[in-house]
Amino acid sequence: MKGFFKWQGWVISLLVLVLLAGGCTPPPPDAGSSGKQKLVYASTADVVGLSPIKTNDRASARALDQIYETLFTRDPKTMEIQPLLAESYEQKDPNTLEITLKKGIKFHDGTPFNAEAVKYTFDKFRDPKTAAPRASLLEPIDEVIVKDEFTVVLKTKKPYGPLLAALAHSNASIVSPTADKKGNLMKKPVGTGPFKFKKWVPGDKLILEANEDYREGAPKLKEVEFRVVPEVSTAISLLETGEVDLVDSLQPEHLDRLKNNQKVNVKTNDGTPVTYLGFNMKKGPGKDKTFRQAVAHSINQEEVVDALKGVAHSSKGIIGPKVFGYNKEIEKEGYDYDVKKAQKLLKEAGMDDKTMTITTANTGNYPTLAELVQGQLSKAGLKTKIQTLEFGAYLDRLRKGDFEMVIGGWTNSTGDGSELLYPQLHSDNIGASNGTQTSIPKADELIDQTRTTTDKEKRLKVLHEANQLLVKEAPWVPLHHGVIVIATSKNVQGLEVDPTGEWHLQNVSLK
Amino acid sequence: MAGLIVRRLFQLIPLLLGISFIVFISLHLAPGDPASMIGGPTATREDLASIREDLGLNDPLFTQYFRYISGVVQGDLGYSYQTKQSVTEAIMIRFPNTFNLAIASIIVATVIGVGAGMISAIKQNTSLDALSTIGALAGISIPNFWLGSVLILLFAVNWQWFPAAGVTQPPWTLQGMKELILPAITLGTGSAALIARMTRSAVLEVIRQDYIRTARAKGVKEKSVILLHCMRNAMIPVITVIGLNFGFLLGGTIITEQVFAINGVGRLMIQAIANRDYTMVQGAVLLVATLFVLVNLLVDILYALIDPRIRYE
Amino acid sequence: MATDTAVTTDVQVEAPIPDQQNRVKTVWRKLLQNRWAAVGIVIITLQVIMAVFAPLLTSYDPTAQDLSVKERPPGSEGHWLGTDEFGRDLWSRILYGARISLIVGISSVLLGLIGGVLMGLLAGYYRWLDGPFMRLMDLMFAFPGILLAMLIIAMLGTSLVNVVIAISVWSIPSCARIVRGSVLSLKNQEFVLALRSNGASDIRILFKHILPNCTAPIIVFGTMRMATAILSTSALSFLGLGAQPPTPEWGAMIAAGRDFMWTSPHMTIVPGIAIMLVVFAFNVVGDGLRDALDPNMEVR
Repeated sequence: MKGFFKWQGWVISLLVLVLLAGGCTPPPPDAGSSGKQKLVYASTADVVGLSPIKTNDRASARALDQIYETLFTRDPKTMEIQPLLAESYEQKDPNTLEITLKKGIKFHDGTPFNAEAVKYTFDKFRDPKTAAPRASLLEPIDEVIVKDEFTVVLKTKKPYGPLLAALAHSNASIVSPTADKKGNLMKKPVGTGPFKFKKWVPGDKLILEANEDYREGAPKLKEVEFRVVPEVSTAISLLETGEVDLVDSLQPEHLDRLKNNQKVNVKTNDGTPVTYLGFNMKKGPGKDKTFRQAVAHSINQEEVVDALKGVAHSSKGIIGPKVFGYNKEIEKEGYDYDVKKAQKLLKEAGMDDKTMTITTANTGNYPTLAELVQGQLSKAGLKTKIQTLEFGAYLDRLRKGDFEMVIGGWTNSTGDGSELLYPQLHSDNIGASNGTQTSIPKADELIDQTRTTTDKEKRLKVLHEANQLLVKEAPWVPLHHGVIVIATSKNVQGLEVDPTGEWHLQNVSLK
Repeated sequence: MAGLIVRRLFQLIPLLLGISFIVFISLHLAPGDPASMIGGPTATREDLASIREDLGLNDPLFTQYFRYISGVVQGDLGYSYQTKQSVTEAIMIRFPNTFNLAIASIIVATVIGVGAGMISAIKQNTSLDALSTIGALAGISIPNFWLGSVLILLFAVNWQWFPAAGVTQPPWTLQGMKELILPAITLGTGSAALIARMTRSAVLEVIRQDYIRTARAKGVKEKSVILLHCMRNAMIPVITVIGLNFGFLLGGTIITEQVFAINGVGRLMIQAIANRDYTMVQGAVLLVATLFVLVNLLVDILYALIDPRIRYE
Repeated sequence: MATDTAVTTDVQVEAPIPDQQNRVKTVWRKLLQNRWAAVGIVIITLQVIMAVFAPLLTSYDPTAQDLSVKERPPGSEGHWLGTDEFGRDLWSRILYGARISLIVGISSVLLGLIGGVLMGLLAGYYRWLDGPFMRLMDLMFAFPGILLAMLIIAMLGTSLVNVVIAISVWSIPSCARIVRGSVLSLKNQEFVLALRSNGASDIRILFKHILPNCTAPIIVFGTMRMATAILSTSALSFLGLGAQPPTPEWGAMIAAGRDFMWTSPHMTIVPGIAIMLVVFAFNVVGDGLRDALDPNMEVR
């Protein structure tokens, strides 16, 4: 019997040890002070950090949009660019933009917002030593000049058409210079936005609280939580059980599930993202225009949009309906779905008995699209293999041009056509964002024009021309244009979603 | 005993060096680079170049490894490439969650496993025995990612007994326990099955032994005989399974954390590998390997204490 | 070499290998007496039949899409197990999936066995190799298997072939340890000493005399490992690191089906049950084999 008690002693001490170790470590429960006006957003990824200068990912951008503000912003309905932190602006000459700032605004730490803060932010952003991941956004700016306390002048190297769109981008948010010099904005962000930073448990949740001194009145929500839920289907379960109020980045298959749920609202808006089937324009069969046309004729965009159950809309354009530069004339051009023609062109290109590889990432609905495209191409007689890669490996292949065909996408977070064509299809960006290695001199010329023209009407015209040319040349076959889907619990009111997928919570309340 | 502990701890050093080297090399050989993940699809060549320079990725591999290891030796695991956060801090935030999940699943596994194993041994060759045997075998055969999804569907969405995912409260609160139950079952089922099998055979062996017969003959009540003597013997399989399966358990936490959105070391590792966040992967792997060795050491010590016949030279 | 053989045959020193045919018969009989093992054998036989005769058991191509019949529940006309999100017949995908799981399982186990047996034999036989080899094994042991596999796949790229490689690397250390144990106990036995003094080459001793005496634990290990390999393949495919679409791999089918769990749960449940049954079968047969061969054998 003695042995038994000895053994028992060990187990008990082991248990005590376990409880102690478990007991002293986990995160403490939230102080449940916030009451009702607390909104929980389920994000599939954690924010990388909270500085607009040092991050360039979707999850961080959603948080930055609540904490910081930009000089300009886009109206979510009309897509028109309007001043936000700016009061007004004037294009003094093609290379000079003079911006008058709003007065009397303070950062969360009390630092006054002024021309110095703008200069500080942009200079830091553009400094190569900072290694800002999105430095290219403000690359065209040559110099930032403080004219007086509330006037700042941006000098560009060449005339730069999409400058206002760039200034409306989340990454061009203005930061508090004092906070950045003293501390680390990645961990403790300080902006001018309607919400202030409260707490961040990396990998788990980010908590923001209302900025009571916000210039347009304190937001109705007292607290906002960004909770990390990696699996979308889990996030939806949380929405159904009421633990989460807001979910975005929904996949088509989730819509069916939510449609019949009385507690959930689903909002869909046509958006700026575009998903495409691209060719390697530098080597292999993709160089042959006949082959590209054959593939373009085999793609049934209606079927793709249909399969995506309403999270997609169709357009023949590379620049889609919600992007600045779209002209509906483009729908008359481009390639119709026509299997017979596709078969004929495939033979002409000598590709009817070949096998091609479609490379794509193993994230989102890329693998599903790849299977769908594979099915459509096989109807036209082109055999394909699918290769899905981890996102990192996929980016690597694109940068090196090591693939035959690729399924990819572009979110276009400025909503401007130049911000799509230049990074993705201009030869300047081969080896970087131009994955298809597209280098068409005439297109390069047009894209350059869309960037150096500052007149809005002229830009629209050139963007359309570029769109026409590229649709004809078909380095890409557009598969679908994105729809921004957002699901909220029924009691969330006043939420507006931008076609780029951005949203702002300052006017949102819970019923 | 002391000798054993010291020797094992010394063996840890070359082991960790070896592991860090293998992880370092395999990550650097893997396609995709951290700069490209930080810059994202929008990055231009200039963006990428300045990020690479900033991270020191242009230095020769040897220099990079040496820089890393000399930091580790001084107790500095470095900073995450992706979030610029201290790796030690990032791991420390997540470790308690993984630890709680592992402990909860061991408790679930032990309760179910020892219970089922003892019942099937005592009721040997009855339908109850058959039932628990087949249950145990099914337990090892269920893919845990599948089990997790099915449990969420049934218990969280359909019946709403437990939350669908996430750990927000500490494990000693009611809510915290509720949050841990489904993940713990998902992760613990495999081990429960192994424990049940081993308990069954251990108890059967004991039941046949002389001293039980003696105890019975002395008139000790049947139940206490079985409980006292068998329980002690049943501890050995439990400890063995925990020890041998610790790696398996940690592997399981990777998937379970992913399915149940638990902010643990496993999920950190998946993300870090996908993001090519070299320093973060290194740090997490070193932690896991150290834990593994320590747990095995602990198991060996427990063996020796429970069963005095076991001696280490 | 020629003299070697001459010498050994002359002296008639042979390893004490029991009558093979009889042994196989006894083991087989014992195995069938174990009812769970018998069930397992039936399941495995069924899987083999499904894998080999897949084209005869269904008229559907497992990758052929038919969007007009997508997400049909089991019991639908023409698709008794239903269809998936592309209207592909689930039964045909399960059948061809059986083939994949069998091929991946067998090849990764065989590769792992070759590596593990070689390392185990050498480490057990040559003292000077023992230290370094076993340290290397310790190193591999200290990784959770799935993590090791993820690193290997990150390095080599996502594909089923790389999954096979990753899983076989992961089974090397356990196998090496088992073989090494047997070699250590065998190498100082009389027949080996006699062979050596007769001048038999090390290779001959290792492969002709020692290896045949370690077959029992290797067979049991291999069978059990099939279960692990099949489970791991599906886990890796679930994480998006294994089979490439539209390959009908069971784990990948579960991963794809998860998004449809609320509307079409059969897409997840059917492949889940398939994996469970097969893994169950290899586990019980492995168990049964161990009992039949040598109940005291320490193989996990």
